[in-house]
Amino acid sequence: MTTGGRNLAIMGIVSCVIAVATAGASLAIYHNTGDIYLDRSRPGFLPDEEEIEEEEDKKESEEYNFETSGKITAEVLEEYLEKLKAEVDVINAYQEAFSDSALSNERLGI
Amino acid sequence: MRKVFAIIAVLVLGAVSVPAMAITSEQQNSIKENCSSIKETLVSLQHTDARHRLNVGRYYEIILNKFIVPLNLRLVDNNTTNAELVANQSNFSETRAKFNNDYIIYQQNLEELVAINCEEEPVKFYEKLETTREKRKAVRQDMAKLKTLADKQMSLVSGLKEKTE
Repeated sequence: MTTGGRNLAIMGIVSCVIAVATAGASLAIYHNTGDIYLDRSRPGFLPDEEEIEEEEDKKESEEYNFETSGKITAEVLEEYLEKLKAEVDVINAYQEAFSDSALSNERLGI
Repeated sequence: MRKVFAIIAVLVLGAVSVPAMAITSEQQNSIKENCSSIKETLVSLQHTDARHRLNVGRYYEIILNKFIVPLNLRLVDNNTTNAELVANQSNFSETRAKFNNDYIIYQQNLEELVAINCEEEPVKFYEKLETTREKRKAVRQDMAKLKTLADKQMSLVSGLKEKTE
């Protein structure tokens, strides 16, 4: 093997080692930081059609932005409360999302 | 002398070791017989939890970054501050971070639970199940606290609105 050929082979091997090492490090970080549990692009975790439609509807609806400057009046705070209540109502609906029953002996058949 | 040390070590280890979870033989048999359906239920739960976590997490972020923080900034812009609103922002932010961390810990435990072969190790499976239940409870408690803080935000702003009128 010529010197050039040998060097090319070494470069190829080193490149593969670096690629495997960085891919392994990325997967370890992805798992250890918990991002894997928020990734819904994984097989089996993809959103269903209803969710996609809801997401599109939400984007289409007017988004409220409370300005960080400007006078604070009763009318401004009234609108603020009205919009905040809408968001709070949503999280109230999720209060049973992580209930005990999902892991109960009855649910699991134990 | 070695014997004495060995006896002391056994006694100490015996005193500090956690007793095995009380699982009946009936429960063990149920776990072994229903192992595949239990696993299916747990995997389905992982999917459901992921959806709920993302949805509710999005709303926590909206409440914090679009409502709580901007209001405090606007109060500063108006050369006024409200100590309770500032404290509520701090509490909400801390609790949200705790919720994020507790959810990761819970999901890690759930993942480990799914990985256990419940046909061969029903006792180990049940012990892990108990641990996972505790972690899930922590997530639920964080959500309850965040709800309380969001309600408090509304209450404080209502009070501020009355003062402004």
